[in-house]
Amino acid sequence: MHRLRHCLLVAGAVFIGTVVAAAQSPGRERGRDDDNGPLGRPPRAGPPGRFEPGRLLPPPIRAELDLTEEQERQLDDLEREVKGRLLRILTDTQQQKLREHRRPPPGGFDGPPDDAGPPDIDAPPAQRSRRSAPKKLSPPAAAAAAKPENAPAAIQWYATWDSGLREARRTNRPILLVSAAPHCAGVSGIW
Amino acid sequence: MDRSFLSQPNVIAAAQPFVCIRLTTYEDKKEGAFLKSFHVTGSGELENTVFAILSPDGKRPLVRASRSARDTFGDADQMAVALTRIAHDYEAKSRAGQGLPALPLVANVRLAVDVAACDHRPLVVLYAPRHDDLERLEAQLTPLAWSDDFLGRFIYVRASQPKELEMVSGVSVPTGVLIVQPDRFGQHGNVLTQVAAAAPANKLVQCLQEGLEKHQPESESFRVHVRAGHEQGIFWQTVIPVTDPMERRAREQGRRP
Repeated sequence: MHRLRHCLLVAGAVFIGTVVAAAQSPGRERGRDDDNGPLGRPPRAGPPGRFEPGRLLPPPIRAELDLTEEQERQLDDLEREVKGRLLRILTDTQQQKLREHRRPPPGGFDGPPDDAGPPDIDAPPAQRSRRSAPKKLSPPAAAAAAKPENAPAAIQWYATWDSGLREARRTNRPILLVSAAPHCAGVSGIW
Repeated sequence: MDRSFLSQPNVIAAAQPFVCIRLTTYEDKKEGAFLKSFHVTGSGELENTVFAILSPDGKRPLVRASRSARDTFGDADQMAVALTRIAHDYEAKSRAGQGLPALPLVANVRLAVDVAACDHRPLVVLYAPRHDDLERLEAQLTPLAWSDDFLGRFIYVRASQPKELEMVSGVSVPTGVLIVQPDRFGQHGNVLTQVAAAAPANKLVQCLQEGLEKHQPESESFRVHVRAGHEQGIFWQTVIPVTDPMERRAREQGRRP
């Protein structure tokens, strides 16, 4: 019963996502026939938003609902869950087709970086790493994975891209990159 | 930021072969442009969080980039497994044993105090007006920072002018190492312990240990922290504009009387 409910949830999300994607036709924003539209906001520059797997409400609708902070948080959690489940259902080939439906960002794709620029994440498949989707390890390999009992208290982070990249190049080690704002709702002291 | 994955012991262990970089969103123009180029948001703008695993030259994604580790992996166990597999692939080519890593420094004292508060960690300030003295302090501290005793336990920053330490109380050495307790909102710090630059190496170790013992991490929920911050008029001014629609809205709401 639980499994059936999850399947229905994911199917519903896929259906809604498909309807939203079909509605996001190029060259026309919803409700934005004049400068400030019925939503009272100026139209966004550039093409309409890209199809995003897992997105349940298109941004203009979401903005119109004037959700509370708690509702925003719950909706984010729900969209993340749906997106995660959807991407686990799809094969690598299907995920690739989904990505091909996504329009390029305003200004086009970023080219390969020269020094510390962006990775070529939207490059054609031939140029992309085959490692974009992690493969699940077989049981013996999984058992050989990192043992936590000797782990340090926490990860030691490099705090700037330049310093971390320098170290990665020096040692030829891969990079684990995260970014977060050291404040929330304007209040510092919390991520 | 979803910290739950990054504080799991198996993820911490699996992350050790990596160069782990954590950027503070909206605090550097160049980094902001770089983070935006990952295109992990529906708005097309830079939003609060980005997550990626990259090749050593920083150019090639090794997994699907996203807003968070949870988005990419689903759970911490899968993340640990993926990190282990990737690390294994790079093991033979790694030059990790050659020389010590650089000290992981935050860009400035103001940001470092805030980051230390966010992380509930003490802040280590290397303070010396002369560049040579600063380099010497850094050379002394670097092996300690990467040692088993102190790995991941401090935030580090350099300062060379007195005005950089205006937000830190209790400084009494003209040059040296300060261990600082950030306040609740990361807007001010108090020196817990300090050692002069000329002190022997064992004094520096003692200073770090004492700082860890005296440090008192804050412990409160997200909701309590943010509400108290709004009531007290706490507001963090970013270097570049906040472009996350939800965060922008929350900031505006928080500033309303």
